[in-house]
Amino acid sequence: MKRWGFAVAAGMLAATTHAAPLRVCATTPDLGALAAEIGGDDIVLTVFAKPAEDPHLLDAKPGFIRALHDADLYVETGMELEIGWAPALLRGARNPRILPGQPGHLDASQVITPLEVPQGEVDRSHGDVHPGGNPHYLLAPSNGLAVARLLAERMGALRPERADTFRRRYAHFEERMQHAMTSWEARLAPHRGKGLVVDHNLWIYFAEHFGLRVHVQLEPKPGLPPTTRHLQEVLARMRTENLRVIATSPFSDERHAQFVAKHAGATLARLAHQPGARPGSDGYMGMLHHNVNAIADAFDATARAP
Amino acid sequence: MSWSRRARRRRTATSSEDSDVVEELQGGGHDPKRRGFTLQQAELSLSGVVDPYFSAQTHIVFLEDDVELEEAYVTSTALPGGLELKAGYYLTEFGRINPSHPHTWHWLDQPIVASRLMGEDGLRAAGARLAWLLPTRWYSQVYLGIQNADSDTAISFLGEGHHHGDKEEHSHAEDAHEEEHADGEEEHGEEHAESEEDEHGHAEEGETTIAGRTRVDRDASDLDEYLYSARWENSFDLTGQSTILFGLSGLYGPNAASEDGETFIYGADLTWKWRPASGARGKFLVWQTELMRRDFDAGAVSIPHDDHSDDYPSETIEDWGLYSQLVWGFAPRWETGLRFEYVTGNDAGVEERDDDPARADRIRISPMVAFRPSEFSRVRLQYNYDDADFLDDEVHTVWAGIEFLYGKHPAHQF
Repeated sequence: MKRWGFAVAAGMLAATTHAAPLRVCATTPDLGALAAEIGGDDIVLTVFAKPAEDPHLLDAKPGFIRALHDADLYVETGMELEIGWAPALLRGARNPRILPGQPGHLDASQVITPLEVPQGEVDRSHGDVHPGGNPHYLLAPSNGLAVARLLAERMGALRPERADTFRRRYAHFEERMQHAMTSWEARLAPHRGKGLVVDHNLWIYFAEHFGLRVHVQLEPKPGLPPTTRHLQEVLARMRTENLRVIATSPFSDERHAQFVAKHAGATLARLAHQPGARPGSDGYMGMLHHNVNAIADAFDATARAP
Repeated sequence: MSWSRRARRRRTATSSEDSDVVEELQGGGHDPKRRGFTLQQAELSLSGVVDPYFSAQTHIVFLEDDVELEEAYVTSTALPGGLELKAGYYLTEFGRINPSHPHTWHWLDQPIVASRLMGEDGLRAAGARLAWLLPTRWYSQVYLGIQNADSDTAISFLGEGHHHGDKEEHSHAEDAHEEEHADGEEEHGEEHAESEEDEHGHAEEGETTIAGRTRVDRDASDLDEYLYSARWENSFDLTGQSTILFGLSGLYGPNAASEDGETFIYGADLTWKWRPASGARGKFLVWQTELMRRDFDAGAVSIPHDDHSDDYPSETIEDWGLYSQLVWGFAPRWETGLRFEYVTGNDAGVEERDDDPARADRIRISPMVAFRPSEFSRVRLQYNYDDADFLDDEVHTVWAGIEFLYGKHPAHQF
């Protein structure tokens, strides 16, 4: 019925049979990296956001419509991270398999516990606050594992004959992650309880996982650039609370962080908010490895400093 | 499962030039047009999913003393084979400017060539179109559409022109000034006032079409009395940092100059966008160029009067023009741009082309700077340098505008 009258057009498209690889579109590189861990050679993967970009501010490029039209599985971060561009793409893709509510539409945030869910009324006078909570949950390894498991289940449901392969890859990934998490936690253990200054509010899940605290943000409100007055307040708090490490992301202008670091005698930790966002941060585990080391090195440096 | 959208946008602007000259120069329906403040539009947008097969959008524009429907249409979501059907009242998918709403434009006013060929509010009409996403590796899409040719805004076809406010309806070409511009000292204000009087003798208000040709009555009933549109667009990444989109568009339909009059409009557009690999916020370059040409084929017509008849020859009235604009996001929240425009045509029709604001040769150069406090608001400052054959002197105008949106999050445009 669906293909009635369009046999020619349908014949020209690569027919989607269950023997064909699963076509996966991931909105962000972290989801893409997890999908690659689970899917391996059994999927054809398209990732929309580039590693260093702010995934909130992506353009809805026409080429994404092409990829979504053929997709069997669309994976998004959710919690309104993609709200500026994903709805228009999903509408334009004319692919009922990946619309919300279908098995081919996966909101990865369903398996994590959101942090910073705003209490009470929120409006845009508060800046770019996400009503569902802070969407940067994949920066915590435990959430990455939960999402990888979800991906393995969903990919298996869409390609039952490969479900065992996806499960096996997940088990292997989990084993490597558990091993790495032990060493990451050990690396940061001496710094438990210490406070971080951040440029954009990306690191709350990471901090919670490793027992750090995010005290102060360089942005006066989420998404708004720092003002001189706000930076003065930040400096005052850093002195009184003895905060010595500033976590930065590649899409924010680093000059603000450098200014604060200079005046507060603090050290920058140049973190990767997505796999590949910094040199040597490729892959999901590579990103975590980079971030753990960058934070630990920054704390070590401040400990040595007078 | 479904999303609905409510958004209101308001734009106001102010300028520095003589109001009547400015009104002739600002050809777009939502352009700022006078010395002082203009409320360009307050738009209410609604969209949502209708059922498993359709989604729909409605855009209503409020003006100070008028309300108009900008678009209202349904789009299919479940046709197979990459097909999408759209039906309702919508902006024709021709080029880049025509199908987009003014609040998505980088400049405060509409490109001249679009105002001349597509009408001041953009070409829109009731109709239907089918789009096909081609099974190519890159993005390639074909649009084929059919719409009513007698929609008010279809000025190059059977439309009578669409004006806001309580002004008399009059055709686009009526603004072509009958008076001699030899008297350079004459006040533009007076000139405009006199032009309200009928100096044609043979053509009443609303009775002419392009280039002063008299309108004839045509029935929009046969299949060849509709407006047909076609567009083919392609997009792909050139490098990791840059993407292009290019398209070819065409329109064909009847015009009101004679029983067999027909109009062809062709267009080509190119958009190139660059974002740095560093991902730095607010840094980008967009270059957009659009070229349009109209061949207005008017047949021979003889219009009898009491003591004489007006005879018009069979002729092709040609107009073409382009705009090319570069916008540079140079810092977070800040962008600046330069737009160049040129329009011209052939010497045909009744009106002397040099005196016709809708056809005379014209160059406009517009630098612009914009500040975006957030994704939901924008403040702009724009300067227009105008050199038009229908004016004695070059004209300089400065515009400031503020635009804001509230409600559901807007979609980022490519």
